[in-house]
Order: sequence, then C-alpha cells, then structure tokens
Amino acid sequence: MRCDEIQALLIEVADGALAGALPPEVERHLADCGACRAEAAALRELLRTVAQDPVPEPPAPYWAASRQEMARRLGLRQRAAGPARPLPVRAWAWAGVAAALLLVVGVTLLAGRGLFPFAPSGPTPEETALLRNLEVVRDLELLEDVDILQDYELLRTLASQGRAT
Amino acid sequence: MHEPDEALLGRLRAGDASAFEAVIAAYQRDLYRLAYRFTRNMEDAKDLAQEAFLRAYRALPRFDGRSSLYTWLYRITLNLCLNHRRGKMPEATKETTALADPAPGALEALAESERQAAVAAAIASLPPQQRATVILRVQQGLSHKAIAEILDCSEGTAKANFFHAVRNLRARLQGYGAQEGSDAVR
Repeated sequence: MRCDEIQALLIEVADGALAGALPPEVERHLADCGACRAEAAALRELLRTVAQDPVPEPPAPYWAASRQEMARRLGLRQRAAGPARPLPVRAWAWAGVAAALLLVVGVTLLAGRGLFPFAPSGPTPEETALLRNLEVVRDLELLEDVDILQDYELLRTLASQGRAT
Repeated sequence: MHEPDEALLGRLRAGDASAFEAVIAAYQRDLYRLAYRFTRNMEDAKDLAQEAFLRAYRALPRFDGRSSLYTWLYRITLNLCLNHRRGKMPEATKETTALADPAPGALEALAESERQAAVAAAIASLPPQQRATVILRVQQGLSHKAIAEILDCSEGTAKANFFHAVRNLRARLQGYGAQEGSDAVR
C-alpha cells in the first residue's frame, strides 16, 4: 500500500471511525513508514486540540433563570401552572374581610330583593303558613321552658326542706 | 440524564406546555456551547441559544418528526449561528494576562492559549459547511449520520465535508503540534 492511499484513511483513523478495525495492510504500512506514523500522530493531535477548545460556561444560576425567562416569553407558565401556592397570612386576612363584606352586601341585597327585582315582593301563602307554624312551635318551646323552670324551683324547695330536716 | 426525545415529543403533541420547559432543560447547554463555538462570545451565544428555543417553539406545529428532536434543534441553532454577524472573526486571545503572570507554567499556558486561539481562527476561516461539520463532529461529538440530518445532506457528503475540513485545518495549522513528516510521504 502506498502513502497516498494511506493518507486518505488517516483522517478516519484519527477521528476514531476506524478504531479497532484497521485493515492489516494499513497497520503494516504504519509499522514500516515513519512519515505516515507522524502524519497520523499529527492528525490525532490536531483533532485533540480542536476537541479541547474550551467553552466558558455562564454562572450556574443562569440556566434556571434562562429557562424561566423563555417560559415567560412563550407564556408556558400560565398554561402549565404547578400546584397553587398557599396565600400568605395577610392575604388570607384580607380575603376573609372581603368574603365577610360580600356576605353582608349579598344578604342585604337579597333581603331587599334588590338583586332579584323579578321576584315577588311579599311572602307567598305557603311561606305565611310556615311562619305561623314556626311561631306555634316557638310558643310550645317557651311553655316547655317554663314547665322546666317550675319543676326546677320545686326540686330546689324540696331539697332545701330535706336539708333542713 | 434527561427525558428521552420520544417521550418529550409525545407530551408536546398532547399539548403539555411543561414539556417544552423539559426540552429547554435538556438541550440548553448543548445549544449554548454550539453557539459559542461559532460566536466565541458568551453573551451572543446565550442570546442565540435562547432565540433558537423560541423559534423552535413557534415552529413546533410544523415539526414533522422525520428528524430527531435534537438534530432539529441543532439545525435551527446552526442556521442562526451561520447568519449571525456573518464574517465576524473570533476574538483574539488575551495574551496580556498570561505574559504578565510570572507563575510557573505561565509559558506553557501561553503556548496552549495561543494554540487554542490559532485553532479557533483556523476553524472560523473554513467554509460554512466544513466549519459546521468540524464543530458538530469534533467539538459536539455528533455522529456523521446526525450531522447529515442537521445539514440536510447525505452521510457521504457529511463525511466528505469532514475530510476536507480536517485537511484544510491541517494545512492552516502547520507549526502547531506534532506535525512533522508529512512532506516525506512516499
């Protein structure tokens, strides 16, 4: 094998494409020819130097910051929101105040039917009957309470008499 | 170790917006390094890598999956790099720091630094396809098949580009490294 034939293969040899699979005639030529051996070494050294050309890395926090910046620019975060973060205490307090205010306003408006002008203004006959029944029940409960109080007074009297005897 | 491309693509196609963040996390360093090889400037490289992701995201609906995700991302970055300040040569290596440093090993460091600068300049002077091939093959460690996909050519053409690129570099870097004996070929 001649040197010019070997030369065409030396780049592949240096590149590693033929690593471990050099044809025997190439190996024989390299063993005998100092010039081709030197050329093979020079090519290996050249590729090693090219491969080792350093790349300065940005500071470590850059990568995450860059991802966030890109996600923001692409609007990814809104659509791929993670678990909701708990609100801070002050936010909870304000949320509670707002909810209470809404409740008060809502009840007031509903009581005055302000929000539902299409609703009837007075109670229906069924509602009136129900209210009447509720009043009866309340009176019964009051009577029961009175009975209980009377029983209680009677027991106290008996007890005090018993202690005196 | 990042999520396989196939899984990422599946999530992207299913409309999982968080999948693209995973793509960025998987490839942002590779694309930055690729861009740096071309620009020799950290800020430019950061900007180009980001721009590549933004363009890739917008082009996702047109990605047909015939190439792999990473070769597609590399191709977008490479096109941006080749169009970036076309003709700008790499920055010269700062020699003053090494010369002013009397510490042991300073001369060796200077020699190495000069050699790296010469290599960078030689690569920058190659025709675009050869330059891209050397960077992708030797510095980014890609296979000839992947390079062919990125450069949209046959594998044979990618290998031929590589062969010519190395021959050209060899010719331009006479005097650096163990390069004696080539005149004595039979």
